[in-house]
Amino acid sequence: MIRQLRASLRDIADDIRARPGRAGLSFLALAIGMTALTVLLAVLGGLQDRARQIVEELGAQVFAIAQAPSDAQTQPSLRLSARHMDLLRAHLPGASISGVQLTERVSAGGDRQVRIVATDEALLDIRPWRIASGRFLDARDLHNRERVAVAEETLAREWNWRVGDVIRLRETPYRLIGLLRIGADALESESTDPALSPGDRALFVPRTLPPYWQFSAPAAEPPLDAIYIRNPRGQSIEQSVALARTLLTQPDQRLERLSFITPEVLLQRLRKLQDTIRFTAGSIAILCLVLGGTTLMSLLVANVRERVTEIGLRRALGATAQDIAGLFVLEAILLTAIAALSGALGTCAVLWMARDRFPIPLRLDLFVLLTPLLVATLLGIAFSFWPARAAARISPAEALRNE
Amino acid sequence: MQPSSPTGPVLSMHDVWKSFPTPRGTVEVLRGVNLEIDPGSFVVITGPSGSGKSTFLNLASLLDTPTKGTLHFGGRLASALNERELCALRKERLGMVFQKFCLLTHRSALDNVLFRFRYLTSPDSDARSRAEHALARVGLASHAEQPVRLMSGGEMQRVAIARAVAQRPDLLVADEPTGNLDRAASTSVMETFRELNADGITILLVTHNEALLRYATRHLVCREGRLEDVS
Ligand SMILES: Nc1ncnc2c1ncn2[C@@H]1O[C@H](COP(=O)(O)OP(=O)(O)OP(=O)(O)O)[C@@H](O)[C@H]1O
Ligand SMILES: [Mg+2]
Repeated sequence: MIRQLRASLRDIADDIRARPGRAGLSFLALAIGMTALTVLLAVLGGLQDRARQIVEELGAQVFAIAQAPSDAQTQPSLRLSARHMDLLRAHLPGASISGVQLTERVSAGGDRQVRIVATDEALLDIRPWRIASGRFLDARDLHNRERVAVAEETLAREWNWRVGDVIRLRETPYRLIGLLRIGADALESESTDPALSPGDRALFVPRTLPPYWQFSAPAAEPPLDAIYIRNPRGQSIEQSVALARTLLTQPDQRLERLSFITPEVLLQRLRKLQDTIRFTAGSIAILCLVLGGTTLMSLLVANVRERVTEIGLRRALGATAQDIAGLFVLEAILLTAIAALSGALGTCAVLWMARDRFPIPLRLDLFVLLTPLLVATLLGIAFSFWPARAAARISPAEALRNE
Repeated sequence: MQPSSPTGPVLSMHDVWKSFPTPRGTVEVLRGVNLEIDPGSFVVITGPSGSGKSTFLNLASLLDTPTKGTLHFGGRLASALNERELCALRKERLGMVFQKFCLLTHRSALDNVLFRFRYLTSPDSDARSRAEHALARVGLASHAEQPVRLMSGGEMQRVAIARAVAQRPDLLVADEPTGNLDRAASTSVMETFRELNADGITILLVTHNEALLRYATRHLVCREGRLEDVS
């Protein structure tokens, strides 16, 4: 068995060496097809991972209501505020509701900049973040308008902040009470999070605090940029979103430019992208593979024709019709498999090196490497079927007739 | 598989017919061949072109089957054997030599002889020593590693003979083995056949060259689809 396989491999290597041009051409066509397929798999896989991550980040039962920032002239009464949180709370019993207000980036000394997120204790119930040390804001901080802050863990590490430190934002001192661990790249990634944009280094402070430049109590209702809601149990998130929409878009609320962000909404864009890629890259991959397959088939057909005498000789030396067919099928599978491996490996290597500059997330794993191999084997079998059958049907007497 | 008993005929045909369908109707090429080939004989067949010599050899070497009549190879009825058994007989009991050598030109002489074992299950080392021995027997031991495309016609044909006999055949079939060779090369090839025959290998050889008849222990003429003994 092993010996036969080794002999077959030797025969195939011999044949390829005898006709390098033809074999090279079909190899190239197949490798290009496999490259397209690998890119497709890597990108689709990446998008799928991204989709899962989005749902995980926002939480499947969490939605947000965000209001696009408006110009300075907009009256505060037209902005989202704590009043609306109360309204929602009244209609969504059991829901956790948290308001978030973003300040501009402020200097934290030197050229260091942080994004200050004014919020409340409920945020931690809603977002899948964990306290790394110390504690998060609590109701008392909010009520007493304590000048305390919770920093994102990596930010604190970079700037060497510790729980208990007093940090200064502009000239205002804040006591650091806790460090927060936010998902791996939650802040770097595109804005799945309406409240935070990429690259933000976040520092959380009570939203009841007057802004640092204002020492007096804040205006009655500081505006909010977003309200996060964890859907109460026993109610579908669609229902809750619909209810919130009805409540907040009543004309007397006069709220403009509201967006209701659910995992579903975030996924829609991604799904559209997935479909586009599936259709474009998918059809390119299929075309290349069919092209590669037919090139391979013509290679094999020409081989069979050229090797009639050799086939006759093999039959004279005892090869069965299946032996002959197997030789061509094996040659096809070998060629497609090597093309697939080099196409997939090469593509993965290039994508890996360029992954930072690639506009969409990528998945580069064994699945992406091995699927082309499987496809290649199937292609090899499919496209060598005909030539192999033709070769097997050549009668040995006729094959040797005109040598 | 045991070699056929030395007493019975290696090959026997009884009223063998062979016809081919063509666009212009069926061509009857062999019309009732009756023949027995005894072990150890050196049979030479001559006859006009198109008389059916090659067709007969194809039947004798089990590459083709008769349209009618019975053919026994080593005492076994060919029509009773399936494809796999016919293949087994071809690889174990038959050696074939062709007019145009049928070598794998980009491989070495030794590799070509080793190709005899391609579909056999003998162990590698055994095959190798037998191939080397066969090459030595045709006088080409020193050419083992030479690619056959760089060899002369006579040498190539001797490589082909070595391939045919590396696995000792019950019957060695040769269709115009000297057809592409000059006189000197023909002589060396025929001497090789003579030595193999002296060794006990039964030979069935087709030629147009009457001069080769002196090697024969039996001379058959193919005429109008029949084989006749000439004494
Ligand atoms: N497969 C086939 N189909 C149709 N006709 C065939 C076939 N094989 C042989 N023939 C015919 O049978 C006849 C005998 O052919 P064969 O090759 O046996 O002759 P031959 O005696 O070997 O001739 P040569 O000395 O020229 O080699 C020829 O007329 C040939 O055309
Ligand atoms: Mg002939």
